[in-house]
Amino acid sequence: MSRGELTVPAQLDSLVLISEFVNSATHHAKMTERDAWHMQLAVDEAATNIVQHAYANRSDGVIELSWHIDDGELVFTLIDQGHPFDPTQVPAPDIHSPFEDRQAGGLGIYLMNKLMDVVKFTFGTRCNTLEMRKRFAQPNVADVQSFVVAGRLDARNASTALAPVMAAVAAGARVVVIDLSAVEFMSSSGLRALLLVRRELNEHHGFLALCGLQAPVEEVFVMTGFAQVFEIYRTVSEATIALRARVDA
Amino acid sequence: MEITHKRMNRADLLVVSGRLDAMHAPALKEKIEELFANGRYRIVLDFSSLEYVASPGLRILIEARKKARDWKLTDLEGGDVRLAGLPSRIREVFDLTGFTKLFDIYADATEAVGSF
Repeated sequence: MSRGELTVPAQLDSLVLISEFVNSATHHAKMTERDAWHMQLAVDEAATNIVQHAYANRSDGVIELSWHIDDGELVFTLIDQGHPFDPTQVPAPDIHSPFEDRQAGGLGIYLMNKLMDVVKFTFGTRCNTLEMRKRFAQPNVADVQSFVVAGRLDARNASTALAPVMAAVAAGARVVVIDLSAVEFMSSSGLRALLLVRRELNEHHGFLALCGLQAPVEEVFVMTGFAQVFEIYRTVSEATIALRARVDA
Repeated sequence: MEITHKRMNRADLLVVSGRLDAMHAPALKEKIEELFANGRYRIVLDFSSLEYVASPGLRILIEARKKARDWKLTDLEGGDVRLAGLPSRIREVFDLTGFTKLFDIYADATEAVGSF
């Protein structure tokens, strides 16, 4: 499921619930921790404005929040039935002014604009809508990259053989298939090198599958228990189809 | 949010932890006003356990520092609100809003208290 909805009373008490709601969205989007924190702050500022300004701390209003993912952007929408409050009419703070002249207000909208790619207010006759969008790096199904590793994956060769894979991950590859059909021997060093690739991808919320294991290599995986750690398929195309399904999920 | 207060000779130390958002900012404001009311104008805010800060929290920091600095012993000595131990996320918000340059920020509470 790549969307969510939440309706809460327009009270400051609701900010913690809203924070958990944003958390579930950024988790679904597999956002980096930093992007997720920016989303948290922007939605919190927006909700605070609605409580304090649109509803002027009236306690009977509600805020309807929803999120969805649209073409690499996490989109948050907040709807309220309070007074139209357009924070873009509030003068922006001069963040370079010296302390003595520094104004205390206007920071909420300033932060929203800084942290989001799009902040759009729409004031209708019955409700006010705020849409905020943030672009994020998302694993793209079109980006499945497969690598053929050949020869002996042992202490001498393993890291060299997998260097192109590590370089691709460092350069942004997030969905990776490693074709081992031309590997005739695998030692613990080979396993360790594959685990390093897996760890790198996990840290970036990526995906890894292996395929084409010859019988002696497969035996190493089974004996060491690593057959359960890695996703293993017969062919590159089987692995690709499986990973696309995982990324889409 | 939790605030613990330690009264030192040189300054009053407030250790603020948790979420400094619109919900909780008024409690910090109240605590600082209480110190002012008792003639205590030298305050260190230890943010090393702070998880979150939003604009209502930032706002009261400015207001508090302005009031503290209005209190002067001599031309050179007076009140101030100084900060200590900013976690990286909080530091990022300070950088974005220009707050890093508005406050004297110290690595930890000991250093900040010692600065008075």
